[in-house]
Amino acid sequence: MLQKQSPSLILAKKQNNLLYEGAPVCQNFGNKHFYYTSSVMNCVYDCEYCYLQGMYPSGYQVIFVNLEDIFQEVELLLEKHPVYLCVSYDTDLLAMENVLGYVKEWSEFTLKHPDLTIEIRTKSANRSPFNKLIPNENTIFAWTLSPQGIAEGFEHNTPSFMQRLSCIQEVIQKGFPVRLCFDPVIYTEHWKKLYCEMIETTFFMIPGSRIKDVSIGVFRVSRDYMKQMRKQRPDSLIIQYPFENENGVFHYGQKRSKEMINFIYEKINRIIPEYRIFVWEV
Amino acid sequence: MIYISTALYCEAQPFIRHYNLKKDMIESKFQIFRNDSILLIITKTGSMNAAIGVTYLCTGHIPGPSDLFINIGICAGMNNDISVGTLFLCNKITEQVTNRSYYPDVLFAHPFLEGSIISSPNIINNKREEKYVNGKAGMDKECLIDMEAAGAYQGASIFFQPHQLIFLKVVSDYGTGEKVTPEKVTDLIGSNIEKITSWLEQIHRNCLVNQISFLEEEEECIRKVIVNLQCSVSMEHQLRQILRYYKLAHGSFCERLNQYMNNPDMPCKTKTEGKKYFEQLKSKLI
Repeated sequence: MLQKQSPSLILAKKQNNLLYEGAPVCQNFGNKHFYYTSSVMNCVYDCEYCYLQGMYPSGYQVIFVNLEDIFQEVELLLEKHPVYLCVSYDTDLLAMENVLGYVKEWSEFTLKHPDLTIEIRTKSANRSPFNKLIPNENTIFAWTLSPQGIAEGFEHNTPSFMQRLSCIQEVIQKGFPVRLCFDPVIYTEHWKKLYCEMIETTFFMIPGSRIKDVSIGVFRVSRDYMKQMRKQRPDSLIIQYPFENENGVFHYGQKRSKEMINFIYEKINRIIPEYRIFVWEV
Repeated sequence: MIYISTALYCEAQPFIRHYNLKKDMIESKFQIFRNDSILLIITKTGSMNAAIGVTYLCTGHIPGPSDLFINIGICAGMNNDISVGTLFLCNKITEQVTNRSYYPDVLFAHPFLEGSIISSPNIINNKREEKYVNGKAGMDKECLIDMEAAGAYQGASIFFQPHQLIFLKVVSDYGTGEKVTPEKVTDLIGSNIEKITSWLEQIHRNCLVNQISFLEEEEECIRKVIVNLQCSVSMEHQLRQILRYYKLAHGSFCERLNQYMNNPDMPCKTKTEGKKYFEQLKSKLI
């Protein structure tokens, strides 16, 4: 946490494992060959629930400068089968795009490889990079949306819910495929009210028909990461929740998780058809 | 708690005096001095001794996220422009034997010069290690040489995060074989003691993490529940986590727990009955 208040930037060359198979706690959106890669480790934002606090011993951002090596490994994999690759899991590439330019690099690389689909996950409201990008159905921009109360209280340094929505509006207008991720859904005392208002506002501002798909998932994290996270944030209300441990994964427990997912699913399903909603099942 | 390691007694003496530390007479393997907020160990010279000493200290007194570790001592300066007595905060430590480097986090603003240090297994003198002097052998101009920092880092990094590790070194000579007496070492460290301790106290305050600990009254309530419900160790852990959350969300839990414990069925007669009531209590609290 202290490192987040006084951040350093580390430049490095990534070696050995450049691509990883998708973790069971992550949503594959129906893709058989699901991978992720980290061209940057750690994030400019500071979300209290973020698994990166448990994953890395340091809060500093590490930028891997050898993106071409990752591209090469993706090309080798593409010789075997199509690839669905999440490139912005362990960071927020769009938030750093004005400095780094990796979103543009990935987008251009994807344009050259029709069997490659990438997802760029973000909480950013940075719209300027889209002026230089060419819309491509295989480059999906996935926004994590949280109610303003959650964003303000627990997603430190992130753009507000409305800023994210306004950015999404513009990006959709430009023809980029957009995914909405109501994931992680966070439990608080008034979660129903918060999420209900958020979903209503979202689909008031963004027509459901213009959204590629939606994901829903409650907060979950591996036991080992949670141990570290709790140590680092002993006063965090959302991290100190007495989660249930199911096969090494901490979540809100079957009953509460199902209640939260069903509530949100039912609201979203009024606008988005079932086949375009992906749920992370407990 | 602030953990301090020095190689020699003469390096520790200014801290022992400043903090009025008392020798821990129970300890026989190392000399350890302490008060309520400081633990100081004298490890003897050399990286191996430093690593063993620091590990010994931290194993006996496990550090928390708010604690700090400081390795302080004298070093040789490899740049003749830097005067004897200059205090450095080390931002890079290289173990000469393995050529491996370690980087303590320099998160806090500080009034010292920063420099890199090499931990050598031998005492450096001009004849034997001329290559180091005045930035030769491709080394930083401010390069310092000691015998403990790399070992102390490796020992301490098992227990502390990089931002909790501080390496302070005072230049005592130029590695040219000049004699450095224990009295001189004490003087060199002592002349920097106010600067060091006031900074340490300031950053230690910044390091304090809000721990959610239970008050004595709350501990009493928890003990009552554990006895009444015949809680296993695992149930006790669960209960504490639930109450930690409850306290963050709503404040004190004593009234609710006491209400629940006033049930005429308490204390439970069997563990099965205890489990049943434990589940009920859980659902009431979260």
